[in-house]
Amino acid sequence: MTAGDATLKDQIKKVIGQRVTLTLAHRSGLGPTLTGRLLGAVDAADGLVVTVEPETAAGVRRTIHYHDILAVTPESSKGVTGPQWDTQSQMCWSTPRGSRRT
Amino acid sequence: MGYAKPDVLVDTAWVAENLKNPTLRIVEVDVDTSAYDSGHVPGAIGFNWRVDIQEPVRRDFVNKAGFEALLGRVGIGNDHTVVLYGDNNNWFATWAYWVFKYYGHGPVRVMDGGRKKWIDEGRPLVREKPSHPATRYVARDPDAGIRAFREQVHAALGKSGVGLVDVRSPKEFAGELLAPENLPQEGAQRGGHIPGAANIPWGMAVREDGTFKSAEELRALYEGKGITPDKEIFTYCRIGERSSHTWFVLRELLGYGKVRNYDGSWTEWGSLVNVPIEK
Repeated sequence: MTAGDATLKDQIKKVIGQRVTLTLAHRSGLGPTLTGRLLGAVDAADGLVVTVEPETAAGVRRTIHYHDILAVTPESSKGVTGPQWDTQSQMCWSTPRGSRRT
Repeated sequence: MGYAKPDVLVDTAWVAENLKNPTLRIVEVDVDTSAYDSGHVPGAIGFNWRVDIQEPVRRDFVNKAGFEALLGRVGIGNDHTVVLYGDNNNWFATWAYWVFKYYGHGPVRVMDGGRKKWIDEGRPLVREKPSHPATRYVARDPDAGIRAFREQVHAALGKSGVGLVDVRSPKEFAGELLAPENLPQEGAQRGGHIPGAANIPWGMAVREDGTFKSAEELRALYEGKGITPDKEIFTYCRIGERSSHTWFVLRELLGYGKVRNYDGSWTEWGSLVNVPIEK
């Protein structure tokens, strides 16, 4: 296992339960990215197996081996790293969601 | 539609309620052979897969006489219902299940979710080892229909009506690793996979708590990769234990008729001279 793999495993474990965007390897067959809630991960001797409920398919579970995950971006980090597109309001803003005026 | 054989699975609650059921023998089989001694389900017998279920010299699991001696010694009779569980989401528990079926034992169950789920639920662990009266166990002749040897796999290459499932991790399938990432990188001379194999890692068959997915989810997973019930299926991994997990899913949970576990797996195929390999 490389240091990069260990870091990615730790990153994935830390965001269980959160809404995330996964950047995926082509061989995953699930497209370049997948956004949804990270429901959990099974940690075995041959690596993590991650279960995600895609935001486009409520109730559906997608299972991905972490070898096919290139990067994980949690929802919580998006508001502070740059402008985000709000799919509900169809508006773009550049401040974290928590500080947005209502 | 549910599982083809729903009775092959029991949940942790059922096991907890049946710890003192005299018709049962609970058996733990782990990847980590020290796990049992650190604490196990009360009353569970421990099988060390390396010592108890492997031949000591040649590469094979125990023969019929050895299997009979093992079960007789630990007090498992032909009429006992055997409940298997283990670590790594039942890798070696399903391998042991496959061996029990190879020698024709009737009632065998797997505890869904395995050792980890039992522990996660805060259920008791003990270090005391059980003692049962010895039995005279009689095994059946081996069921050759559930095991594949390299010649059979080689003969099946490229044929229509055949499905190969490589259940290893994507990096093992791609030849970037020779073994699971947390184990020593040994066991085969070459990396890669058997030509035509579909890579469906064993873990795709389980939910986030380690229990098996529903029959509908499993059917969609395998059929979506061309592993359909009309085909003759071969499962393999590195040494045949993870592929037993998928063999269990396809044959027992989905009811596929022709599924063989190639337990020589990649440690054999990846070391053979002049056989085709894909990367």
